[in-house]
Amino acid sequence: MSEKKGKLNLAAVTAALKLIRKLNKRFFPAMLLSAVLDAVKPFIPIVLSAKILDELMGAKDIPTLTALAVALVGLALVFHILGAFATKQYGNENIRLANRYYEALAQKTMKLDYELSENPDTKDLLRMISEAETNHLAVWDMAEYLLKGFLAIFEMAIAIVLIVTTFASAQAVPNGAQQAIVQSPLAFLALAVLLVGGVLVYNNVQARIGKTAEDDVNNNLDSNRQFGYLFFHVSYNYESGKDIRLYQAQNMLKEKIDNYVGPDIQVSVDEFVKPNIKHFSILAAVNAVLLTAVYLFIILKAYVGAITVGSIFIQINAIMRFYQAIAGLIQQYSMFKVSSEYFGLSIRFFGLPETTQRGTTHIRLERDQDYTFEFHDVSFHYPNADALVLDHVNLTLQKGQRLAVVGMNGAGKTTLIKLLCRFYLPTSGTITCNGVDIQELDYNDYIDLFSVVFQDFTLFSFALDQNIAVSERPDNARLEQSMNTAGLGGLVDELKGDYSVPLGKQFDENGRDFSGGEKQKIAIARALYKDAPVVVLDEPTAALDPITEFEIYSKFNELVGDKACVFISHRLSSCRFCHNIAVFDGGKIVQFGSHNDLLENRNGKYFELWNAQAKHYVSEEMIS
Amino acid sequence: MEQPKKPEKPKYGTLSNIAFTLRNIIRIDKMLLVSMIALVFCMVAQPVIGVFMPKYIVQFFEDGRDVTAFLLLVAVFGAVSLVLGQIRSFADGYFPRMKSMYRSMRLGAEMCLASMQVDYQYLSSEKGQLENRKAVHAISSPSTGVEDIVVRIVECSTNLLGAIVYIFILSSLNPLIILGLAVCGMVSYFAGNLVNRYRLKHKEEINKVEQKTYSASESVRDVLYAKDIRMYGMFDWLASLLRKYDDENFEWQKKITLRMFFSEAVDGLIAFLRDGFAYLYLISLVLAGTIPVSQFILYIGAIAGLSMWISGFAKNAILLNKASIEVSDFRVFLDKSEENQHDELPKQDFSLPICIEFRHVDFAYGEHVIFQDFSLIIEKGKKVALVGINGAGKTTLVKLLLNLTEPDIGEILLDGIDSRKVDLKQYFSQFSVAFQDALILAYGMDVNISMRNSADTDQNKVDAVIETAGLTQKVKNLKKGKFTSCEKYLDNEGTELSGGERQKVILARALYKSAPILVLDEPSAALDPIAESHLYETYHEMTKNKTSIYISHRLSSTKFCDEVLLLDGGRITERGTHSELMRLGGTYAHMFDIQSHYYREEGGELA
Repeated sequence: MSEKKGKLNLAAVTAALKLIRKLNKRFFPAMLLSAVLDAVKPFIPIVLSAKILDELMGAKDIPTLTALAVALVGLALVFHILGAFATKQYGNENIRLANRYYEALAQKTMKLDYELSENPDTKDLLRMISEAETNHLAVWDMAEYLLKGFLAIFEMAIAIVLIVTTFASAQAVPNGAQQAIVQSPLAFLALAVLLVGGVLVYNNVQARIGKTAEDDVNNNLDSNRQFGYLFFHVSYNYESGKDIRLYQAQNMLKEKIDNYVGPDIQVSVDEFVKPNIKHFSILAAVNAVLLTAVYLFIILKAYVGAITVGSIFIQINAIMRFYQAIAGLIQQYSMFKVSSEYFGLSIRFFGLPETTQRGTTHIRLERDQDYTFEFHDVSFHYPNADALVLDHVNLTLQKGQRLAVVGMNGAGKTTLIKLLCRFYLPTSGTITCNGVDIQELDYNDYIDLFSVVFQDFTLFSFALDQNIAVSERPDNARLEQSMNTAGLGGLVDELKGDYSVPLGKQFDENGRDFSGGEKQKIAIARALYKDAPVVVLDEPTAALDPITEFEIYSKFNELVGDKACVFISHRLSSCRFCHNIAVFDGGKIVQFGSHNDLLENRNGKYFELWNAQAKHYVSEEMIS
Repeated sequence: MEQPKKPEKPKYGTLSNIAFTLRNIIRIDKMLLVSMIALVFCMVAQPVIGVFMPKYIVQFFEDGRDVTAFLLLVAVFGAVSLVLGQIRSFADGYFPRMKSMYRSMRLGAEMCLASMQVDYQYLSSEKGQLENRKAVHAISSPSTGVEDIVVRIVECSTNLLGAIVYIFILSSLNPLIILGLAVCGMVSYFAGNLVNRYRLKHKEEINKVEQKTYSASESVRDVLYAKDIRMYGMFDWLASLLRKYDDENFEWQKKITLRMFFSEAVDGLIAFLRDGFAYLYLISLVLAGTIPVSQFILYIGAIAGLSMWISGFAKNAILLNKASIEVSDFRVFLDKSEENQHDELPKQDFSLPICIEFRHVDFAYGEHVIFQDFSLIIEKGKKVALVGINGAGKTTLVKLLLNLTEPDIGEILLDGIDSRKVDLKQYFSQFSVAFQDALILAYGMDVNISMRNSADTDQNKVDAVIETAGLTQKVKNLKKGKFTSCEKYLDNEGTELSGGERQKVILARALYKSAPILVLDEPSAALDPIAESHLYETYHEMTKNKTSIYISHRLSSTKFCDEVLLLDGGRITERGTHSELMRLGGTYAHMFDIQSHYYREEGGELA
């Protein structure tokens, strides 16, 4: 995970603390209050009950006893209520912080360079960051470890004060053999040595526990991906259910699950559970030994009369608290270090390049201009592949011009669009808009020029009108116009002005399930609503029946008007109403021209494609 | 807003769910049960030591014992602490992780299998979807249902056992004390339950908001949405919605934590009264000489301990209840998947090719009637084209035929045999289906085609169907050939299939299975003209000796079928060969006309 293991990443810590402050100012005060109360609270009963004990074994003074008892329960009540309030505040602020953090992650994801979104490494990174919370390594956990570390020191201070004052108020001890042994500095030294030894062992073991936890997170990376896929993508998604049943693939998937589950559990047992048991046992043994030594030492002190019986318990508790505070400090530090390393992942993620940051000049654009796009000798291959998907492509697209892009599967048609949309950089060559390299144009202005319907378009489960308008405040008139042109006239009549019906019944029974064809029309309506100067349609009628398809084609004028348009479709009939056709084959444009011109070349690809389809529609048997 | 519905009683009660959990733990991981027992034992014993040790120390001082007594006491204490510590370490190491494994891996795997085996009609219905979601919720995190109930069982047992031990200790004291403590516990329980009742009352609304937030943030992070998010500048809109749902969620959280605070405050007040009384009462007993100071210490410790156990039990009982409801959801879904398994239906002998018949079928989705008294015979060996506008019922027809859905009234017969009287597995094996939205798995292409593991796949057959489906060239270009993963999800070296390539794989899958009935649903929607034409030309070969149904919007396909069936408003309104229907001049002829419009010379361009 990091290069410099062992050293604390101060830069990450500072960044984390700054981020927390930015996301939720109230987090730190709330955490501080809650933690301080938690730290102080246990000392009250320790001290006061010991005093009551001493009083009962000594003077038995009623007013004193009453006062002590009332103080004990009274302070307990005050601290309890204050503590509950502080916990509530801290809990709330923690949730708020977590919400804001995940929001920030979501926002960053939306702004990322498209190329990164498709990259599995980015997805892994995002997933690891999201899982930090389950592993108690989130950025707010980190802040908590830091604070608790400081409080451990605070606790140590209180404990020392208690120990010292109790010993200071001790009586003089009569001389004797037993007394000599107990009161000798050697005894104290022996105890101190044991405590120090205990701390050292603790430190060592805690480091191993930390390493086990870190390794565990890394081990789980790959397995979580498998897990997520099998359990969420495949099994829980009921749409997959048809094929699984019809092809009786249950056994195959069960085998895959079993092959994964068995080893995964074994790894957990061998590399997490067993080491932890071993380490916990060592710590427990150390604890038991120390506790016994402390008890022995303090009891003997009381036996020889150096301290009162009541203060036995103050001493024991104070010493144990001191020891635990040190142990706690070590543990908090260890978790703090691991979580600050982990935060390095977030830093990396937030530092990833964004779409808007590409290029250097960010030239602004006006929407209402005429635009001419040109591909200058553009070649492209995907990041992890060598095969050229586009091979020295030259192309021009202008206002008023409708361009059909056709070709065999995998010939590069959709890739052309992806480059035009600035999802990827050409491997060589440039794409210009009005003569300027599109990478140099302001990203948001550029995107504003396009209304796109992708082949694999997506819609959200929110309100219909919001989906179409991409806004929380849609313009109903514009909405209705877009819907009518897209062939949703029936829906307009049915909904009568209230278009806020949610898409799908996922979280609202009042939602409405739309068919594949209706969804396609909604996507078209969305493109229309945006009303951008360049329209790109990638298989926009694939899910539509012939009648609806014809409706859309007929309205094509309304749809596109005199805008620049790129139309990708396997249904070559649509080429009839495009001015030019670019025929792709193996990443190259092998033919370019109007439908009639291209058909004249009877050896050309277009002719082959056209006839492959037309021959089934035009035959001697047909009667018009 | 509608009134929140009163939650229905869960099918399985708390005790039944506890028994279910314990049975499963014994079956799946006996050591987990051992660690649970060890944990309970230590969680009770360790504090008990902590209560008795001060008592004995003070008592020895009171009695004026000599140093050897003390040394012995400390030695025993040390030994017991050591042993308990070791047992506790085992439990603390084993329990947290293995209970998660129990849930996520073991029960999770069983849940997956259940999802794949449960009746499809049920699963795709609204009720099934809801029950599925609830079952998934019960199993998807450490703090819910199936895993949480394990923790609650441990906690409640500890509390119960601890309470018994302390009651025993306090038995020599006035029994009214114990009664008083029980009353305190009750008040605590009711205060705590108020929070729970509030949660339950608003469960639907809270759920809805949680779902919206979850769905919103999931879509944003899903790469599928990435293109549209960028191209439509959705950032502001989505960021605003995310913020809105977050805030709504937070408001609910605040309401809940406020009520939790009140319940804690009540707890504190009760503790104040209880402990105040206990101290004053016990001090008075000491002053009166009724009990020695060492007993005082013991009783104070025991009272504090007992109160803790009682209020702990109250809190955990509430949580146990909540977890139990979720476990019940889980069991309900598992039960549903078991229903199919025990149906011992006979296997039938089908004579090939198979004749398909729909007899007086009625079917509706809720209020929406699709078929009413629908009858249809497809003779054996016929290749029919099924056409119709969107929403006419083509997909529903196919689902009924495949027995993925059952008709409300009427029968579907294969070779004269009622579909519901045939062993389901055998029934499914009669069909090769290529759905349009079929599942492509993130495993090798050979696995995707055979739907079996590589070892169980006939690789020669795979090669043959790859050829027929037109994938040979694509496979040649792949690094691992046909073993390349068809998705990048699990394997960086996997490939991304284009729309057309996916359709070819789906077709290859249907061909590999080579069943007597072939159903193709929009098999050429993403294919280029050449591939589409190739499909038509090989169709005859593909469907030799089979009965087949070809569904498509591309009416050019109908020429390759023996018959065209036009489905309109739940009826076959036109039926015949392509030429007969063209001569008829009805809806089919009209559709064919407008689709072929632009292919004809005089189609013309739009200005």
